[in-house]
Amino acid sequence: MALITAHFDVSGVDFLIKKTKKDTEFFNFPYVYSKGIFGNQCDRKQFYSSLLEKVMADREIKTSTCNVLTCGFPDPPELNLKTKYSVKPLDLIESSEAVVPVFVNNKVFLTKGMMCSYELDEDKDFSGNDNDLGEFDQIANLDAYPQTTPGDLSSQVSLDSKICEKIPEKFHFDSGRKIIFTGGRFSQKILNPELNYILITETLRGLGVFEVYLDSSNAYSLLRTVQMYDRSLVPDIQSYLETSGLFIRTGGSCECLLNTGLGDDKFIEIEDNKVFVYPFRSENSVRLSIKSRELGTIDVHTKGGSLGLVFDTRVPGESIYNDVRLLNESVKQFENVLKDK
Amino acid sequence: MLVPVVRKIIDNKKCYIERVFPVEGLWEVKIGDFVEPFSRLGSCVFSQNKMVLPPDFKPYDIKSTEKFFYVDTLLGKIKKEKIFAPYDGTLKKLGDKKFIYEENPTKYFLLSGVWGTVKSLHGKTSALIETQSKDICFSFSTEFHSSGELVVFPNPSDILKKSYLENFVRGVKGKIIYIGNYVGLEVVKRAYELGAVAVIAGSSHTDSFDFAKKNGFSFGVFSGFGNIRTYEEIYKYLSSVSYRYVFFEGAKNILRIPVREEDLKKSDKEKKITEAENFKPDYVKNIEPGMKVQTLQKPYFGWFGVVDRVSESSIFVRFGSDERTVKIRLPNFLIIE
Repeated sequence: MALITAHFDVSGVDFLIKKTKKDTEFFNFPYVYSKGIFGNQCDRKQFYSSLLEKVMADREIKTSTCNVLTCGFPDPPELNLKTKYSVKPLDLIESSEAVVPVFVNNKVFLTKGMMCSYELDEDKDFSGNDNDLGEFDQIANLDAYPQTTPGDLSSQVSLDSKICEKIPEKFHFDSGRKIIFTGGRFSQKILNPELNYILITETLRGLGVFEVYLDSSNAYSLLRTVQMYDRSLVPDIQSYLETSGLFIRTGGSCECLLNTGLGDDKFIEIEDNKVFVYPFRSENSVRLSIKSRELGTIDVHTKGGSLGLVFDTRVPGESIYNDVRLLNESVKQFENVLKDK
Repeated sequence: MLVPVVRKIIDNKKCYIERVFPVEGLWEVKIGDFVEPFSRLGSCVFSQNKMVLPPDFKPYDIKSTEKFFYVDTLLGKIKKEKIFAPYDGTLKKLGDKKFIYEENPTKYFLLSGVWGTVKSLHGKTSALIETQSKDICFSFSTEFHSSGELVVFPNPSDILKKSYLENFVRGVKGKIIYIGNYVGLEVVKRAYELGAVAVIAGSSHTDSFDFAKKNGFSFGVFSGFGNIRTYEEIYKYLSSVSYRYVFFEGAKNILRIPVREEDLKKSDKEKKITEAENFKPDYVKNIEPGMKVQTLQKPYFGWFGVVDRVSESSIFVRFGSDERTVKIRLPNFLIIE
């Protein structure tokens, strides 16, 4: 029997389609129901039911022979179709085991033991004029057209900084954890994907070493939903996710020795208040020794990732979004690494 | 590439409109009666105007708690300014030494406002009419309900909007006004002060919405926030039904315009749909060259164009007669039908 799992976010819908037990297809529909678009045509229930039927019909899957699972923020929508299992991202996150999922979209920052919600247009410092589609209007338009993505880098930076402002200063992740960044913010096809990593760098609070995964198709929510329904269908989630690499937050200047064991060891020294990206991916685990005043000396083993090693020597509490020079430098670095991917 | 299909104006073949008396009244119709917009549903008697006087108002010659005044007679003074009765009515003293002036109760006729059949009557207060309408979707509206005669301004320039409101329309009170492609806070405030029941426009800024929300005022925009033109077909349609009684349904995000049954049949014919009841529209479609789209990407936010070609994650759109095409990224566009 075919299986279709849908994750309904605030800016798009992602699907995991299994026509047979062995094949897996991810499909992104980058729109959501909004009254500003469909108010006169249908309600949320009709729209999402029709969308699911369309996705099934395009793949020649019969509704009657397909199991439907749903996950959605804040709640999965009601459907005219019979669903086998429904779950909220909050429950998926709280029940996560080996990894720490961080779910970010335009409404919420959600991780284990922490949820902060926000309205991007709650800032009332209106400064538009009659002839201008200013930043304030763009944010307000997200209510009517929640799927839209900013058309320039600065507007995206502005939106992301609003998300980060809401995270409490005291909040931090424990060093050594595997962290998956997921949710609608990362599945949206934004103009400058390097800003995903700026957002990760900014939200990764606490000093230490973190193994970071970027989930750009809400695969975590989809696969975890399937796992909770029937564990045998998805034995391992991590294999579906992109390993970005190791993010190292030292809180000040640091020295690092990358010991490959092949005689081409690398010594890296980074001054404070910098973000430095060292592209690195290896078949085998290599040893990385990090030394800083705040962390002391740490030895870790890593294979790198699509980005490699990201060193962040900023003092905790300082926002990258407030330091234009650092932001531009970091964007450039991430951009260069992504270009070479 | 699956993209939502927006139908800005849709035919609604069966909907219900509730018409309510301001106070209890007497029905002149019964269940099953066919009514037209100017058909009387019933009547009631109540004071249709009142004026709350400021605390520094000093009444003229009032000895008890209330006194009757004829129109244009002296009510009292506010500092040195003389206040005359705007209509026949009663000046009433409230508990906290404030005064209110109420017009004499007059007969009020509740009109149907729609072409339809009376489905039910609820006591002496409301009637439910089954009718048909054209529903226009707002991109954003306050969640209030109101109804009134539709007045359509001819998309005036910004300077003229306020004077149109104050001088060109005879009695703004109780009306739903389409201001133009854009409406600013000042004009929204003025319309509210003059007693309009709703203001609609192509676009606005959020300060106008904040004002409307705070004051329980019906306010809707068709295109979005900023300064964005109204979709040509919406403007044309509104102009064609100017002075019709319409319904602003903020909770549903629509402007409901009652129509005759024949008007919908005519438009079905135009669309070549023979069995209208069986017509199930697609809410999403695969985008193809030649389709009409609305773009939601700066600097073309809210613009309408035609798809020239489709690439993997974007489309190229031609606006008007311009030969050049503009790249618009998914998901910053919608199909328009």
